[in-house]
Amino acid sequence: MPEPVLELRDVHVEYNTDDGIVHAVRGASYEVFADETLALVGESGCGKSQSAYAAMGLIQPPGRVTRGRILFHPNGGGPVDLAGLHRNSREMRRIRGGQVSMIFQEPMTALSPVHRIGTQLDEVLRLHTDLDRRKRFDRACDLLTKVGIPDAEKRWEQYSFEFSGGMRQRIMIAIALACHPRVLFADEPTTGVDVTIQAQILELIRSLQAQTRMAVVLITHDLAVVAETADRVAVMYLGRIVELSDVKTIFASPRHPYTVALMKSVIGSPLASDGRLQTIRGTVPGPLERVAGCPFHPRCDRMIPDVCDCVLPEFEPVDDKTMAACHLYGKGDA
Amino acid sequence: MHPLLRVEHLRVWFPKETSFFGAPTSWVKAVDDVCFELRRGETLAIVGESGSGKTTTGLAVLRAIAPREGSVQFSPDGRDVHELSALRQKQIRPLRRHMQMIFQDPFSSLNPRMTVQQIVAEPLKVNRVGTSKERRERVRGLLKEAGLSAQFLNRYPHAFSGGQRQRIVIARALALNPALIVCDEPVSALDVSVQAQILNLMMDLKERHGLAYLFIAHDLEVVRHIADRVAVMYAGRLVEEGTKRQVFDEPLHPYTRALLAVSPKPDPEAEHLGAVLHGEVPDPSDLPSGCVFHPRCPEAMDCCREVVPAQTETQGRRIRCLLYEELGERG
Repeated sequence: MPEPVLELRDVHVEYNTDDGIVHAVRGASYEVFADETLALVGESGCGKSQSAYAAMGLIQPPGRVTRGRILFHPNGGGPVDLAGLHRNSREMRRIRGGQVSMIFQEPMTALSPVHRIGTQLDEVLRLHTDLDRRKRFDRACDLLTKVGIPDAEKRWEQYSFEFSGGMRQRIMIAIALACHPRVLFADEPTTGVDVTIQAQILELIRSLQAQTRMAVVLITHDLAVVAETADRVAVMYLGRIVELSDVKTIFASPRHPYTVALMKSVIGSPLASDGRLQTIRGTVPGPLERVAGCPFHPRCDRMIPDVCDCVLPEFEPVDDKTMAACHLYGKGDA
Repeated sequence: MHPLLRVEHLRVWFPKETSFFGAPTSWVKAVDDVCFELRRGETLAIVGESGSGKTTTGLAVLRAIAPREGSVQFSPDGRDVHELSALRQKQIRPLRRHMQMIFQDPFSSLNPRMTVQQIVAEPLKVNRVGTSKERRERVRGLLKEAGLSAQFLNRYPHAFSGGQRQRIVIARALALNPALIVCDEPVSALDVSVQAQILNLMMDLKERHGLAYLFIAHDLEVVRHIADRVAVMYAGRLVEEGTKRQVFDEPLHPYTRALLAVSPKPDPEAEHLGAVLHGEVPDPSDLPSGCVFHPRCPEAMDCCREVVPAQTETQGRRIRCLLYEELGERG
């Protein structure tokens, strides 16, 4: 069994707001290995991005990581618990953007409009390498060429608004990959870009992954993108992982009722019907609501009374391929 | 019977630069020479990447923007045909009740200061339909049809989720029993499970009221599910139009084929072509010569650089590509 590059163990993220505590992540556990793509899927508000922000040390007050460990295994040396580092500490800053890196959803807001593209690329190299100015410039141009931006030396001087959406996303990728990260979080990297550009971006991430063997955590709600790029899939619901499996198994035979319902509601998936689509009844509870027992039980068709509404199911293996948090598969009284 | 909508040689050009005296000297050709028909009770999907002119086409059909050229014939009852492009706004107004719109973002298409009752009753009020008591009843009925409980009548939009808001938008669009609804990306802002609910609702309503949808979308899986006919647009031109089966199963135009090849399918066992279409959609103010797709086209010939392909019709489908020009007649 290879060592994971990054492990999240029972991570909790809470936001202290005026209206009460918003429990954004409620015990997320997953790990990701070198050269694999793990997809985190779920509907908006399920905490998929928040778990990545926790690993990146990007949770800002009033939010904080209240529990859990985030173990990063750097190249050589023992594991570092990222959850234990302050977000502005020297160690965190050395790792973030260097060995653990991230692509954000909206390149327009993630890139600075008042700094040249080259300067923003140079910043990462300056912080994480000891190359001199000249070498950094060469490296930056190299990176731009690699992500498919022609005329790198000229483009270096330009600003983010002078690029198209697809090009901006390529620049984000160049910045994220500048220091050969071991883990890359890709947070909805292709949401809002056109399909032809989406295919180019995903292909780019794939080819760079093949070269550097980095681990990719792909955060998305688009199950078509998941089917095409992921090796393993973790499904999140209300801040928890409810099912984790390899991509083929999860599309063909999902186990958790939420995953089953989700798969059936996606047009074109193996489980979806041609006519009326299956839907999940009810809506996702609000962020301040607390659901006793299994968080999905109010919407679940296979709810077991007095079990699902009282006891929180453990996240445990269902068979040799799948882990799920559901009483239907528990070993206990269900 | 006249089709509900017949669009011929529609052109929407926006002036880009003007001369000293104010006459336009260059244009942004957002929609250029687009022809299609929409029959009663049918769903025609317009697909394309951003900037392909699909939204502009929808707005021009409704005369929300004035086309520069071309004809838009609208016939709500199949007998009287109205040439919308020849009418003035004031003359169009009585026709407006037959055409409605559903927008993409249900967060900006509802007035935050109006209650659900006021929002859904507004089209009735504007068109002076019924007394205020009758309108109240009608709103209740409409909400029920859209799958919302009448207890929400006096709430404001902020109290609703995205899916519920889209239901309010749909109820409002249905208020006047329209024949045509232009839907601009109605589900792309919603989560998948909610998306399925709204698509089901739209299909039920179409069935029940014989609605025709002009369904503007970029998600091919959604289109495959809901459309009867599909029109593919690229850089302001309609490159291919046909039945869903023709376009999805036997696409002819190289752009349609590329688009289908690069669209991911939510099935890990599906064949992954791994195809990539290089380059980007051209700037509509600086379009390539000849066929607008030629710089990205894997099958471009020398003549594609110079000759603008005409829209030809063969076997009930329209196509705009030199590869197929000899198949049909120029028209």
